[in-house]
Amino acid sequence: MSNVIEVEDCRGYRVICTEEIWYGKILASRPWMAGWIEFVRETIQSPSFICQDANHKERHVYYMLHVTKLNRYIKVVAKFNSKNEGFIISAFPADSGKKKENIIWMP
Amino acid sequence: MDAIKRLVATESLKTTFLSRLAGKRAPLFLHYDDDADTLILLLESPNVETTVHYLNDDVALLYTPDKLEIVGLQIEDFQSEFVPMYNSLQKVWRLSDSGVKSGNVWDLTLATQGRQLNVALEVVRAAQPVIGPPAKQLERALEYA
Repeated sequence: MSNVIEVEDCRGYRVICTEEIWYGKILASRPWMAGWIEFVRETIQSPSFICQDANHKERHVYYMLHVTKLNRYIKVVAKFNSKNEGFIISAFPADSGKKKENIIWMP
Repeated sequence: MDAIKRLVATESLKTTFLSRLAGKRAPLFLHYDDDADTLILLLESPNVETTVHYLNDDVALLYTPDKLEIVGLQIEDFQSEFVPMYNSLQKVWRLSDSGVKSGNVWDLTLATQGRQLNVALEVVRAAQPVIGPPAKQLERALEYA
């Protein structure tokens, strides 16, 4: 199965999104995001900030402020392995972050 | 995270859509993703664009970005954190008979309507202290789903 996204993030870490996750998870719950793949890629490459999930330390959460998309953040969650490879598990627009998420990267 | 600006105030979100659902047969979409451990509950078609509005680290409202109408809920850390906190929800949440597993997605949209409704109602009741007044309207709308 091929990857729909395979990029280096702003820190030089490889991040991928498999077809299974994109079509089977992300679009299964949000079919209207079918045209958002470039926004998701851009969020990984040029986020406004990156957080670490409070309950899952291996999850890095990318946020990009998208003023052109009705003024909200695009949030992308990637699960990292010990080789610093990230695998996207979810992506959606949000109007804030979560209180317990810690910022681990800012430009 | 408080340093990150909240873009839409909770008070700005509307419940007109939910109010209009009372007495009508509302569409119910329930989707659980076991990789992300996230449950989505929608009283609108999943084809309608929504934005996530966090109320705490587990519970979020889903609203339409153009009209700011609340149309559903998103519960994160659903099985690991949320379900164990509520006995009545634990009773109705049995993955093995709640849905049909397709790949690694539990597609509750394929499950029986009655099972979906029980899960949806218990989720809304459990989240009521966090959601506040819109929870009553969600519950009322679910009565006709």
